[in-house]
Amino acid sequence: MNTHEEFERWILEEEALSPEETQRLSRHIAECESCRTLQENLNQNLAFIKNSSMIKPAAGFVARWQQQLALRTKEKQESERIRLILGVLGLMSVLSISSCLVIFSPGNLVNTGLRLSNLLKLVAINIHQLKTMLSVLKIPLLIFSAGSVILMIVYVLVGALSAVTIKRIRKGA
Amino acid sequence: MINISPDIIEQAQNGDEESFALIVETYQNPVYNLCYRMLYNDREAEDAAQETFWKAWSNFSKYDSNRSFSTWILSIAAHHCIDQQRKKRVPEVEIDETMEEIIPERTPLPEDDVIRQEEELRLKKMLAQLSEIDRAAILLRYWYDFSDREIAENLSLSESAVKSRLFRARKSLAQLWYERSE
Ligand SMILES: [Zn+2]
Repeated sequence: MNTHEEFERWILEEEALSPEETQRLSRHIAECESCRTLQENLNQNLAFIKNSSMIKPAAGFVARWQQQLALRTKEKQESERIRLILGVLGLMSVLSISSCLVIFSPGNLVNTGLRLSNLLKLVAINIHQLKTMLSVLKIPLLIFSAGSVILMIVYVLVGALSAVTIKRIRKGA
Repeated sequence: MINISPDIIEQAQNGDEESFALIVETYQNPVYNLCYRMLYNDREAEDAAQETFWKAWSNFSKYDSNRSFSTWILSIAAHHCIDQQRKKRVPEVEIDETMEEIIPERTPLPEDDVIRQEEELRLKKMLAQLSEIDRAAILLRYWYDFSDREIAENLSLSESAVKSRLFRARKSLAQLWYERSE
């Protein structure tokens, strides 16, 4: 003997019932108003959902898709480029910082200082030969100053790019 | 459910934009409809449908051509809408207010339109009482004929979880008219 709750479950479950169970259910529904209403409501509401009309997008959906595709593809490429630049800049910063650490580390500081003072001594002694010396040092000096200029540009770029990226991310969120 | 030729899908998968535009054209209605029924807002449904196609386009390599394409694209839409719905989480009072807005009071409408709007409102009320996932499950089952297993795979649930969600959703659908007819 099934209880009323079990019949209710049968109605809501949508599992296939055996012929004998189907018979028992319809017998119960004939005499139980609450189960009858439940089944009618369920069937009507589900039929209503199944038969309700499809809502279509506003005309021109495909054209809007094509615009979006072009725009998003460009954005994706840009963000990939920025990521690449940031990666290279990061690597360069790490390299320059680590080389600074090596040159100015306590172990090497004496060495570096000695070399610098030697150089200064040399400059002081050979001040009259400065002109010749400068011509010798021209290329290393050029490289050094170009390097610092590039480094400065790099840091400015890193700052600017991270500001732009942060703005972009905020806009996205 | 509509189907598209495997050739077009393959071409789109290889990055052909025109083939993909054909896919968009073919699936715009079911995808938009699902988004609309999940979000109940034109603007958001449009955005969600566009986002669905973008996700499909940029993750096309993940599509397994042995499976139904419509199941795949609809599940992307359902996932996206569930996330969107969770983000906005409108308090229930607000839902009721916006629901009444659907019938404008000013101009009298032709009878057909009145009936259609009443039906729309009824459907909206039915769906509004379900949680996002239950709503997606009901829509996928009764509108798009997904099986329990397909719903489970596409909403990242177990099959028994789908069964109990559908049971619960059917129960609340069956009780809605109860309350109204009393
Ligand atoms: Zn009963």
